Amino acid sequence: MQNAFIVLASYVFYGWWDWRFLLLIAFTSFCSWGSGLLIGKAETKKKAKTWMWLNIVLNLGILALFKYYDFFVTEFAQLFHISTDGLLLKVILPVGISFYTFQALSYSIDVYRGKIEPTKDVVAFFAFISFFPQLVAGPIERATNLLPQFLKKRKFDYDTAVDGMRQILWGLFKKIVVADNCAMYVDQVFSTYTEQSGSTLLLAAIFFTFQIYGDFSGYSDIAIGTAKLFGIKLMRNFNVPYFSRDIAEFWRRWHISLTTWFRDYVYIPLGGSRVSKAKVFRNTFIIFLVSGFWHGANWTFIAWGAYHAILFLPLILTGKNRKFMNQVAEGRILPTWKETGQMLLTFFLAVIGWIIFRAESIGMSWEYVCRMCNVSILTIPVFKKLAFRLVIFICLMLLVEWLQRGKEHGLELSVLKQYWIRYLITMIVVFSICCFGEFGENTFIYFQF
Amino acid sequence: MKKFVVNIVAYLFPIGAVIMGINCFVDPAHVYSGSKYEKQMVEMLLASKRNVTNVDLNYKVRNFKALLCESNPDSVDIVVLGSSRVMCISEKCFQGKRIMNLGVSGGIITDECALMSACYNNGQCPKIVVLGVDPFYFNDNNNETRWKEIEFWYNHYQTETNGKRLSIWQHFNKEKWINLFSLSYFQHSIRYHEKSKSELMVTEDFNNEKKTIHHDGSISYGEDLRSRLQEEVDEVAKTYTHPQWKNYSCISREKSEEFQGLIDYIKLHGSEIVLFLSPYHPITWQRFMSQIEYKEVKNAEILVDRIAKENDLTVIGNWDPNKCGCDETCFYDATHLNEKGLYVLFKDFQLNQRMLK
Repeated sequence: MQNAFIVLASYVFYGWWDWRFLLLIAFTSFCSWGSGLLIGKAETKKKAKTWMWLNIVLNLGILALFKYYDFFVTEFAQLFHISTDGLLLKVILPVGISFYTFQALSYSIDVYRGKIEPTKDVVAFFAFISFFPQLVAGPIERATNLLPQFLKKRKFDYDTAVDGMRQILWGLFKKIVVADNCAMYVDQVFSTYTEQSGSTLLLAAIFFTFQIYGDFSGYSDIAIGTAKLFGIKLMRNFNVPYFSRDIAEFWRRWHISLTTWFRDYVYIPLGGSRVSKAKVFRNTFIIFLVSGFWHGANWTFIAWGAYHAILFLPLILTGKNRKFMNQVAEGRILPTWKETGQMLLTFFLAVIGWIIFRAESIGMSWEYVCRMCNVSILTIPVFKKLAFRLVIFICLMLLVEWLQRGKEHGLELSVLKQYWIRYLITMIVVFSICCFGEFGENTFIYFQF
Repeated sequence: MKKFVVNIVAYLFPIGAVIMGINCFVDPAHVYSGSKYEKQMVEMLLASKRNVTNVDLNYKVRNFKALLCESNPDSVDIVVLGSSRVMCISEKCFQGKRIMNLGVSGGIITDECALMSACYNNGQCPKIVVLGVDPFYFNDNNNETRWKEIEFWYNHYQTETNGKRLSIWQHFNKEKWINLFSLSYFQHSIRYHEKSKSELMVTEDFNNEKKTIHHDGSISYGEDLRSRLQEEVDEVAKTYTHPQWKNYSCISREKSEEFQGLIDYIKLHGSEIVLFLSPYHPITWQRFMSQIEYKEVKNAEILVDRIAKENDLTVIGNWDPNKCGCDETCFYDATHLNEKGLYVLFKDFQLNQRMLK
């Protein structure tokens, strides 16, 4: 009954965009559920492998058709100077298709690997694929973590629900106050980047770095918090990535559910880092390029992936990619000067990456960086009242996340014993959102992926 | 679960109360304060026969215009109706004739009907009615409900023309109640309070630092808008968007019939009608001509042209700036003509002599 309600709510939620998407998600769910049963019943490993591959091809085929077909046709036509008339599908990209497809894939692969038993409970499986809080923008859950939670009866837990509400609130702060306000400045500068000074371009790039973080991690917090209200524990998706000391650490903290997905289902099956250096080089590039391409059919995403692969390679080839496994400044309030420098350098490298990500073409990103790195970077940027406010919001967010960096989210207040202090802090956040939030029609950036 | 719900209420109740309280008491757009502010403006204008400045950006413009109709003892030669795009038309455009500008922000046909009814029923019988027309007038989905501020006069118009009255649902102004909990209105309220309200002031000057309402009901914008650089104006024209264009998929038959009904109503009262088509900024017009969401502009043009011919109406201006001699320097923004623009449109307009016999 609980699962049926979740499926119903999820389908209403998803159908709100376009009811036709429901047919697609139901088809994906049914095929993946069926493939799981067939893999489980297969008499030989070979047959099981065939069923698994059939499901992978089917799911990736649907994803490719909706997300990448037009891109490849256009690129191919441009390359060979052919007209695209009548060749393009021009279909709308179903919201969240990349997220639920990967979730469906993880199920059949895990069933094949014997990590999870195939489920006969079709309602629970449909709830697993379509669970509305994380359906459209993740976290991309593994069947091994999420499906068992749908197979047992869930009970309401007061403390978890309260914590979930606080996490939603923190997510809203990051999205509405930080990301959506940053968006106003960023959109303006990126649309007129040829007329802006280097310092303004740098400032806009930094704001975009926080916009995408506030937007995406904010959504993840809202999703995880909402799931907690239903007694479901989703995996963590962000772990203060801008406090990373190198790019390897950044990737352990940014979009964790996608990074670990690629690690477990692509990187390790390819041999991971326990192969020759040439193969490590190949594997690293594959995982980053695929990760970039997962974001969308555009060369900018591929370039963004390649850029990070280039930054990551020296670390993995010298075996330093696991140098920073703990939290920065653990047991201390302030970081050392060395740690601060490392964090700033990593942050700056991430900023350059986000310019590539945000630009409309590789040419534009190159021009943006060139214009940013000229003498005008020493001038005073266009620093209107909005930019001043943004700096305050970002500093506030960073301060909270720094102080709470060992915790699951910024508003985890369970250690505070007095009710009134928790009440006061919560109210301050609520009123900050009410007073400074941007209540326009900004959607979430990651909905397009 | 019970404890959780109690806790949620303990948080939501004060939040809701504070938002509602601030929205209601600060009330920057004077939504909940009756018509005190608008009455004060009308009294000042009529008593001084001059202009009033320091006007709030938001006030109940429909209420104000209806009150102006009700309280103005002098008869006028010309009445101007329409959206904010006609609100700057003043007596300067009509060579000394007495005019009353009843244009309202976001005005639609319904507003024009209501204000015309207010006009006739308060003894005003202008010789000419300048009827502003915008392409979005014929959009069924423009979601304009601000006319409910003057629903009394719209009801009056309905009764006069077809004997119908508004239904209970049409009476209910749900936006007003939703607005009570609106977070954007809450933000406006806070910022409005910060700036502290400025007192209305009578002035001889036509243009002032802040928004000014002239004794004929027309307005002039504040210094900030009037002194915009051309690049800023062009930028606004490039990014112009308005909810009134939302889902504009076809010309509404109902709206075009309503417009024809208004023309008949004005003619019945013996006034002559002049259609006023305020041009758009050339960049905005170019967007209208090329973007799919504005495809109905062309059809609206055809419709207005047909209505003008069928009813033998004079037309001033054209939505296409190129057809009425306006370039980008004639605008305050994407849609509003500046003084130069108004001069371009009205300089050759000799109807005063021809029509005001």
